[in-house]
Amino acid sequence: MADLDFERIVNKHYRSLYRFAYSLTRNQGDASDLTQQTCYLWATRGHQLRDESKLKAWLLTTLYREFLGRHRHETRFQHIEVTAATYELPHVLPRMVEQLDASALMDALTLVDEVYRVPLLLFYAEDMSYKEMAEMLDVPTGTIMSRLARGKAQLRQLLAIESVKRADKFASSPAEVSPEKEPHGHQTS
Amino acid sequence: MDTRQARFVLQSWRASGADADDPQFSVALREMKRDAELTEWFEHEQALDHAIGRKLGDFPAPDQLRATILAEHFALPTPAPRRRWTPLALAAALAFLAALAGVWYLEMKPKEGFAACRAQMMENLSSLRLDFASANLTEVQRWLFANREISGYSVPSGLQKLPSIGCKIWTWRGKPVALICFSLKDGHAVHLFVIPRSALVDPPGSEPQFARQADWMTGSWTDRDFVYVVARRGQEGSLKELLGPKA
Repeated sequence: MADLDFERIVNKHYRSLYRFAYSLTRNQGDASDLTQQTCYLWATRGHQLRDESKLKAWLLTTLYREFLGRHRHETRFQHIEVTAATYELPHVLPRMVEQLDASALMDALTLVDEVYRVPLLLFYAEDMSYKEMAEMLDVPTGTIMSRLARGKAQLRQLLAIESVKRADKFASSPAEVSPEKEPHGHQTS
Repeated sequence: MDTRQARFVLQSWRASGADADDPQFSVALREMKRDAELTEWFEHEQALDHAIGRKLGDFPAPDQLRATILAEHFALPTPAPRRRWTPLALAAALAFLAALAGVWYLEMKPKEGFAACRAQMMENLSSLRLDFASANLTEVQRWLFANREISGYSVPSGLQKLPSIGCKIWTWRGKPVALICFSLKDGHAVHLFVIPRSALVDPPGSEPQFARQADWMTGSWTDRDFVYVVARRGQEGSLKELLGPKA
């Protein structure tokens, strides 16, 4: 593979890879290392991939396998499959999400169980379809839909808690917030 | 399909609209058109998904990550393209390996001194992970000083003109060895090792000595308290050019 190709691929995908790695590891150093390792694996094994349209999926899959390989000894989350049950989703408004900064949202996402977090991140940040995720994670499409549903429910609970914490913070320190800043000027801790 | 089932399916619909052609969603979408409450739920769901997706897309990667990945790649030997092995080529390869094994056997005694140090440093390049990345040489030097008090060395003038990539500290015989990486115009890297003279029993002379080490062409010399090794891919001429008057 030509160096220019490598540079082009890194430029295009390193942010996605890092984002995915961070959502898995919850740690900047480990996420950076995982991203670097994935790029290294691409440089050494990428010639095996013939269809460039599958490049992103290849990179994300490789990163995920690398992560699993490193964390094989850790406790796996129990896989809970759900069907078309009613989900008691807390009411989270898009405006509440807009008021968060990206790191606060990512922090909330990293608290979602890993089994749900992975498809959730791929769905939201990488715009992957449930079919692509099923292929990548080697599970049936129905399982992916279930995991998305569960993951969304967990994330919304966490975002609802976050919004309550933010509201409490406003209430406890009114002098720090000017009226015109109220919707957007406050950073979560 | 009832409302609950439709919700279950539609929550997997991507906010980008990329699933428009997927027949899996068509029944649920038809159901939605008949049900105002479901429509309202779906619109809210889409708005929320869009907001979350956009916000997550803003999550930043560390400033130096890209530069570090590229630096590591350019420091690594390029993987050889795959070839088909004919029986003849295989036999030649085996004969070559046998000869290599003979040479290795003759040189089995423990390696020490500058040549071993240089060989080890070149080997280190094959799995390089920078400790610190910056395009600013002063920042790199500051980091080296702050972390292992490495100072008093001089960077060849030819390298000072290049943007730095970052640095790494290794140890040789208990002494810190600094590596500073620079970026060439062609995108490849050139590496400067700074080794305390006291760490070597046989430091090279004051004039650069050129030697090939695997994929790398190296130039080595001693100046006061330090031994310097510069390495890059390519021929001796390209390294001499880089070192300028020093070579």
